[in-house]
Amino acid sequence: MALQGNEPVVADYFAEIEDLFFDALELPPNQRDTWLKTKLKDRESVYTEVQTLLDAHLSSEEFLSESPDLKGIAACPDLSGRRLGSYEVVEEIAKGGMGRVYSAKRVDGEYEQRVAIKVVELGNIEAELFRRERQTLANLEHPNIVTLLDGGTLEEGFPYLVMELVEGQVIDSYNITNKLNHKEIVKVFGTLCDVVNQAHQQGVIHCDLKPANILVTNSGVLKLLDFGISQSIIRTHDIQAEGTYPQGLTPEYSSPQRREHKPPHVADDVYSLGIILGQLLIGGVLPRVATELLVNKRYKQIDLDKFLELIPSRELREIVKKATDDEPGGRYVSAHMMGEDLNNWLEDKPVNAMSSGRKRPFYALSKNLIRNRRAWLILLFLVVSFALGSYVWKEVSLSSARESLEKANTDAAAGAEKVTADLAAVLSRTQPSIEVQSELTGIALNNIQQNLEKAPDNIPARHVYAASLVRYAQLEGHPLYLSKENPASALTFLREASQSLRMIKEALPDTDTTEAPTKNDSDQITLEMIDVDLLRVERLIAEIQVYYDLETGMESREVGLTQLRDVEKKLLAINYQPVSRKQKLLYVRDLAYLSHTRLLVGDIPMSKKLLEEAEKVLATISGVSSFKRDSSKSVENQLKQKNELDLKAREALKEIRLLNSFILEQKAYQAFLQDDLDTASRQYKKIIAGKSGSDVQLSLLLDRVSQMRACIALGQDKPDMAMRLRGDIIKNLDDLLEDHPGAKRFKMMHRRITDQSFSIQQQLDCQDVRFIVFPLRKVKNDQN
Amino acid sequence: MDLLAQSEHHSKLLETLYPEIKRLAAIQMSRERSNHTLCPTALVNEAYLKMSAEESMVFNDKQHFLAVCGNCVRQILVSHARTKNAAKRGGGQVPVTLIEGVDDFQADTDMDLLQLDELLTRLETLDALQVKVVELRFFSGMSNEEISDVLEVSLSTVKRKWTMAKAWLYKEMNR
Repeated sequence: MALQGNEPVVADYFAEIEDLFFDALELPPNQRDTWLKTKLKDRESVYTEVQTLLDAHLSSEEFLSESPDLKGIAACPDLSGRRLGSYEVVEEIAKGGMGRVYSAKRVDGEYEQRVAIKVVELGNIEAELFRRERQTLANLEHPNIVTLLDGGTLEEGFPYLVMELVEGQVIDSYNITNKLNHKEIVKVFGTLCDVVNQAHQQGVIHCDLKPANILVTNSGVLKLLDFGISQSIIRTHDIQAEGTYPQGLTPEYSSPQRREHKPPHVADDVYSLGIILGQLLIGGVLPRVATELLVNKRYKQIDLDKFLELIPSRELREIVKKATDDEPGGRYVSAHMMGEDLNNWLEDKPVNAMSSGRKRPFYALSKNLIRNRRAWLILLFLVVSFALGSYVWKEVSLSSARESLEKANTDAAAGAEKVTADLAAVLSRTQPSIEVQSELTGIALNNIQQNLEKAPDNIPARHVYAASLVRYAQLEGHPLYLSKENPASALTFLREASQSLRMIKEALPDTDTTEAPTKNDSDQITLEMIDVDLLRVERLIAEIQVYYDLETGMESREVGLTQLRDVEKKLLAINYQPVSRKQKLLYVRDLAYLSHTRLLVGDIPMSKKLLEEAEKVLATISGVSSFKRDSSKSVENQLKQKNELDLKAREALKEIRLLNSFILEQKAYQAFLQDDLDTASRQYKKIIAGKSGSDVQLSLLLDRVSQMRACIALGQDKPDMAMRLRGDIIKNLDDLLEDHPGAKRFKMMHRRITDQSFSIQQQLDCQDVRFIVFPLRKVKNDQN
Repeated sequence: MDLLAQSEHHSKLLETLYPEIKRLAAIQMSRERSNHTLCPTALVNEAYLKMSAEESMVFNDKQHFLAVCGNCVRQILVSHARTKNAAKRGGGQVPVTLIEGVDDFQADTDMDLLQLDELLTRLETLDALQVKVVELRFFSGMSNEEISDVLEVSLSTVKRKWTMAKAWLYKEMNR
């Protein structure tokens, strides 16, 4: 049955083809083709079929050898109609990268309620993120954050969340449908900044801010959703060292740092806020293109500027630009600050983001920007260098030789010392905002603590640690200086410092001859020194009690004053003779502050005595560094050493000037209390004449001086001079507020002094000048 | 021997088996790391244990059950690949949070699965037994011996049908 060529290969021949295929396979490979050709001389299509099958056989060894991965089918089934606890699922309402969201209703007859149920669909990474979201939401309670009602796990193993069902629109479509003008957008956005800031303050970084996660309800309430990949700030710091953490991001809204998978930071949320704001302001006009440009601006700098021109307000443009700066340090330090700046715009006040404001000259702002950036860079350097140091330290200690262990111990102390010294220099030079200062100090503190854990018996390192705790506590809540006004937290840190100091005290040998690993004897830690340190901590605790209205009751102030008298007695009994410049400066500060509180209760003789003592010590401090030439060292090394010394000397000089001014201020106030207005005026003028530098502490002091002088001028019937001084104070406050937008105290002062409903006496607080010299909140609040 | 003749029973079984296998896959996956591969053998065996324990489901025997399994897994995979492809073509307008290394799995095998399914449908008209063998071996992960038991054919037939099907499918796929 000879068949013609081109016959179709159908089932009829398929069995035959199979036979031919296997018959051919029986033969040695080199004979197969000849055999087939002979066999299928006139049936070309069958020949071709078998021939290609034979070829395929040779190369198909691996083919289908591995069963397909079924992972893809492991998705969560549609839940519509299913009952979960008290709820019945109605329908799917949204689908995201991690799971689905359903609407559901309560069906247990208790009451009627519509809810949203969110289920994560895939494997374990997301399940972990999801559990975290559950915890985060449970911890966050805020009217603008979606409320968590319940949670559980499906029988299939998928976790789910029951949340408040937000009926509304995502913010960008809300913007378009309601044709919001820029003022309205900025107002809504202010709420968003607030709520994001709230989350930050509770230690949560959202990490996935985008319009789809921001809803506005029908009644106009903003709701923030989807904390699925949010990060705890504390956790982030922990994981930082390992460098691994779950990743999830929406590229369009993620900061360059997030896209590079750096550990999440508050600045990442600020960046996303900037992108969203830009998108909203450009509005219906091609928002996607705008977003794309904003995101890819590094390559399209000019286009971005052109595009942002679509936002008519130059100030708003600059706010968007500042928030989306490629460098975290160039952005707003917090969502709060961004909100504040938007509020400035709403209230027609100068906007911080403007590089050439209406009121402020160009340099102030660019300076601020550079400042922050530099601070961040140096911070990075600090963390890196210290991490390196601890690594080296570990290596050395592992080598197990006794000497190297000892060396490691001194390394830990030297490392800690270096971190604090570097930090102090950075802060003094850059004068960043209180938030940045506190953050940097906190990180340095963390580093010191970590290294201390490896060498818990290292006395010098522990001493540096205690000193850093004190510094950090002062940033948290120093009653007389710019702080975050968080006295409770300050007390916690002070108590920890006190504990560390007591540990040192116990570990110190009775004789004053401590081992002293450092060559410099003046840095030697003595029992006396620790006692003074302990008293310093006690003084700060007592001062917080005096100046803050703590919840311990009305007596808080009385208790504090009694404690201060006790501290004072003990301190004078020690008859302390500080050796090093650093210790001397600290001691002078102790005395000056003790005297200050004496003045608060009007005890002039005691105040005078303390000031005299302070002046005596201050006079022995040399502002010049003692640099000894050492020919055994290279010229470069010597220069480096000299530079370091000069830097320290400059810092010391600054501190000496400040303390001098502080003492002078108190002397003037003493004269004022004794009705000697002329002497008071003279002293105050002396301070003004000797002022130098732009330190915040000095700036605050000068403000007090101006206020006092204005009051005196009013008393001497010189209203013109008082008005002029008032103008200076306002200008100074403006400057301070610009650098420290979060400082409540300045805001309060600013509000009062510009309040037109007050008389000038009231504006200046001349009724009770104690308000000027001592920030007595309670009395002040009563007055308001 | 002709399992295919019991089509009514087959489709009934498939109907029950289909959601069950999906459910078991989901449970296994939610317990595992997401880069874990889900092996059909384990899944099918678990499905059998689970379903044979339930009294409502009566199987003729294990062979019968397993024979349907391969076909079931094939259908699940193919329908999944279809929806994924459809989603890829249709969606993409809304920025979506990406989780690293999760969404790109199977990206390169999806198209192959759909093509493989089409070819298997064609092959069914040529030699149904070959398709059965492929389903059991590839989609259900069974060994030649098990397949010989399930299909009640000789071991050499299983090997022969497998070799032939593989060559044919490979040839068709690389045309």
